[in-house]
Amino acid sequence: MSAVFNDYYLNIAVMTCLWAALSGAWNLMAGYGGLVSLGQSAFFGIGAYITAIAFTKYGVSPWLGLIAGIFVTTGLAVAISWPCFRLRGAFFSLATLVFPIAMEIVANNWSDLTRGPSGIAIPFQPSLSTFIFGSRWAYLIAAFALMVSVYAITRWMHRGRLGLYLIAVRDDEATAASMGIKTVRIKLIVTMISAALTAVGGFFYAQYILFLDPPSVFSINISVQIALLSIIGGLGTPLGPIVGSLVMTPLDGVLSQFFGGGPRLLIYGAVLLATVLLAPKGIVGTLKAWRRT
Amino acid sequence: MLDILPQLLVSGLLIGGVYGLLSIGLTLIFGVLRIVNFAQGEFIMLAMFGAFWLYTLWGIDPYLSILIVTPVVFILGLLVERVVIKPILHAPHAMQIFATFGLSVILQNIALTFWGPDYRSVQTGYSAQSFVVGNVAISASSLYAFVVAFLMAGVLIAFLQFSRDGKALRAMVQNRYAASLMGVNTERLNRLAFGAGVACAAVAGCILTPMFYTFPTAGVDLIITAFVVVVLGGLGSVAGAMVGGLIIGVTQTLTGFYVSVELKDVIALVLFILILLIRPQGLFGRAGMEEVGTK
Repeated sequence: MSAVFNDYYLNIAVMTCLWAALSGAWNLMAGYGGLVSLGQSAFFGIGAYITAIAFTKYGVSPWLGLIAGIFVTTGLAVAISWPCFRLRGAFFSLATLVFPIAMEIVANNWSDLTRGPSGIAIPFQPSLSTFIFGSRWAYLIAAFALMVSVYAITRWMHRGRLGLYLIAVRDDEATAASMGIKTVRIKLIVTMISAALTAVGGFFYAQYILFLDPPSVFSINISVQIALLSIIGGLGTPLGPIVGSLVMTPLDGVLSQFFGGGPRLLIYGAVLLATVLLAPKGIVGTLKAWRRT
Repeated sequence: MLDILPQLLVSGLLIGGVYGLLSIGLTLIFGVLRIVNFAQGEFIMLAMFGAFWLYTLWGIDPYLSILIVTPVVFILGLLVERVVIKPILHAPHAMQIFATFGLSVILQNIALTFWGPDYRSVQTGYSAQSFVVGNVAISASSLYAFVVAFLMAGVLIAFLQFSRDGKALRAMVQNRYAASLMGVNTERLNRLAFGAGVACAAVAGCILTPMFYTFPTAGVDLIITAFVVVVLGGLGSVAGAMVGGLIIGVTQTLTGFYVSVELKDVIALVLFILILLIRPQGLFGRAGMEEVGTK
């Protein structure tokens, strides 16, 4: 029994929940609003960095860092949306791609604040007020709670008015606008929610891993990973990101145990491509369609 | 400070010509198929490896290897069009983006698996050579690259302007439904456009080999610049890609010297956002205006 619950497997469980939550936040934007952002790692990294800088440099509780991170990322979401919302489809994605790249350059060069490429190590001071725990079980409970909250928000949106508006905007923006839906406001709200949730994920990552450097949080690979889980699980379904993460995160753990970076990512790319070509509705969507027939 | 300006302008124009060449294929593919090929940088990278191995194993000059690498990549492009691109032509944007993104991850990691992560370089006789005109030094390899880039662009523009297939491709850039109603075989031309688009990437890759390092993620940095160039020049416009390339090349070089080296990379991104805000159709753009929201 203890072998099953050792740190290695607990770590995979924690990461599965964290990735499911991050991907769920992306799914709100992309799955419901059609806003296929490739810039989520900008929110993730800012959430992580603000928490870490507040704690290590100014001795401020990470909880306050979390609140600051949420404010900054939602502000950034507004700033980003201004140039990006007038773009459609692939151009929206291209424009969002710019922000994490710019953030990584800033984090690498603003050494006074971010310590540049050498990164920030967060001292291990376990307590609830620092959100650092000796046992991975505590992290698992927190990550699980985060994942469930994202699911609940998605579920609430899926059923509610905001979700319906969003789907209308996604499917035909001009018609939605002509029906009196304030399309820009709707898109802005969902982007801000998504940014805030992603920043919470960044806070969790900082206090769990206890080390940050620019590529580990701002890398485009993180934005892609976030998106990929929802696509494999089922884009635009509340359960999709969770199913995607349940399948892919443990698989990733196993693959990285047996293979180096090359073959592991090769399999990853192949799974992504195969899903898009053969089952574009993802696991959840395909199962639903299959059950109906 | 100002006496070095001519040197900076020349260097900027030379690198800008290469940026233009990188972007031609991307703009052609987008213009005809309305797909943003996120894997374009990986075709450049594969061509760089092709040129690298041809040089290392058999001593074939990278400029000569264009004749071998380009047809191989063209055929690879036809294959990829059949397997990956054709099925997603009418899929939602998210699926199109992640299909080409998945392809780029696959190609990168094939290179990583087979050839490892090392930075490799080709040292030809002219790698360190340079010409001096007045007080301006011109590196030989970037001058050759510049000349090939413009030759290539000229050939492509002539093809689009005068040949039957070229005219049909231009018709598709303007309106693919109308073109298909006029009897244009859009399926065949989709394949041709994708093949030609990645073949341009192959030429770019070969001429970059003497100037840049060859490694599995070499395409990633290049492709971001190419996206900026394409958006600046106007989607679907080959001439726009060349002009856009020159502008970005000069802007980056001047920023790198007069402002700061770190800002050199940021300036392209800032320009990108500014263009999208002020003139989303680009300098010469007609295609894709509905996507960028100006139509």
